[in-house]
Amino acid sequence: MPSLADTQRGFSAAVFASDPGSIRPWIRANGLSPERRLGLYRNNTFLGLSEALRDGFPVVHRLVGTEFFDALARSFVAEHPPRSGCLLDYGAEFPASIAGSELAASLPYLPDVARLEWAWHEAFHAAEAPAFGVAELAAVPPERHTQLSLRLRPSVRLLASPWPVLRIFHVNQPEYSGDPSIDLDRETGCRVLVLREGAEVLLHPLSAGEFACLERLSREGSLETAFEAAIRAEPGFDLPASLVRLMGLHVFNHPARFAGGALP
Amino acid sequence: MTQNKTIVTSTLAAVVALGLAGNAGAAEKKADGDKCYGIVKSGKNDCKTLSNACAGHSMEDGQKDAFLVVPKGTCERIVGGSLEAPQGGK
Repeated sequence: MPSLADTQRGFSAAVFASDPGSIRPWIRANGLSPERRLGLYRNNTFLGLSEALRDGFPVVHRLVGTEFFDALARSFVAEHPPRSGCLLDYGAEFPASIAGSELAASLPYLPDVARLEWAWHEAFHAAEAPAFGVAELAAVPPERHTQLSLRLRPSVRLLASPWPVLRIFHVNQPEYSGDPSIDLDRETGCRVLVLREGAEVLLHPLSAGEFACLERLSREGSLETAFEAAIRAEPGFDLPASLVRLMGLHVFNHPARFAGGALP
Repeated sequence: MTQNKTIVTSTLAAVVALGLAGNAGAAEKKADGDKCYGIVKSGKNDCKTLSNACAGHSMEDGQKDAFLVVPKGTCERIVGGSLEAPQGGK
């Protein structure tokens, strides 16, 4: 008698790798062959996970059509059994899988569209947290400003792409009624701020300076490294005005942290 | 240390001044002036289930060979670009 772990591994191999070898002896035929019984599970698993991907990546789906999307999804599912019991977690590696797929090689912007969609998905499901804005900053004594460390709220994501993925995303929304044509030779890449406000996810374009600043802060950078990176990234960058704008968008987490201890 | 902290103190002082001294409007204006596509989506709140039970009940492997499939969607409206990333992206 195999152990539970062996049984599960054998079942997983039958479903994901079409290899029923180790589980087959333990399945009673009873009117249906073990292969056909396993086929039921295999189809349900692949269809269920593919459907989860379709829900998570609606723009990719729309761009390539159902038949092609299902082919992409199928090769992904075979390589990536779920590692979480929650279906909402499924698909994090899908953008990288598209990037590595020969199938989608003629659509070089597709992986970044998928990354944007996953950022949207993550932002939507991230924890809620209060924001640190201008009023909160004003309550901090100026002599403590150098000890301040700003972090992004859990529902904030950043994405930079050499492709106009924000426009591609926009013109492929079901409610978009304009011309969905995009000429990649005329349009440039973009930097995108993805954040949830209430129950809605918003996408804002960022300047080079804003992106550099937020990117440093997202990697636990100090304020001075973030500010210096921003000014380096964008000549003539108006750092204070941009910070006021970003604070107005509720990008930063509250309470802000201090190197020297508790909040004032 | 003193040198590079200056950027922090001067910037944050300017943020407070700009944000509180009635200049918030100016900063707001800058925000509005930026092209925001206004992509707002309400989220899905569905409990994920296998809704395709019917299709899933097939016992055969009905999937097509992936290499026979070509993209057929709105990507047909995206032209140019060849395989090179456009200049000026990052």
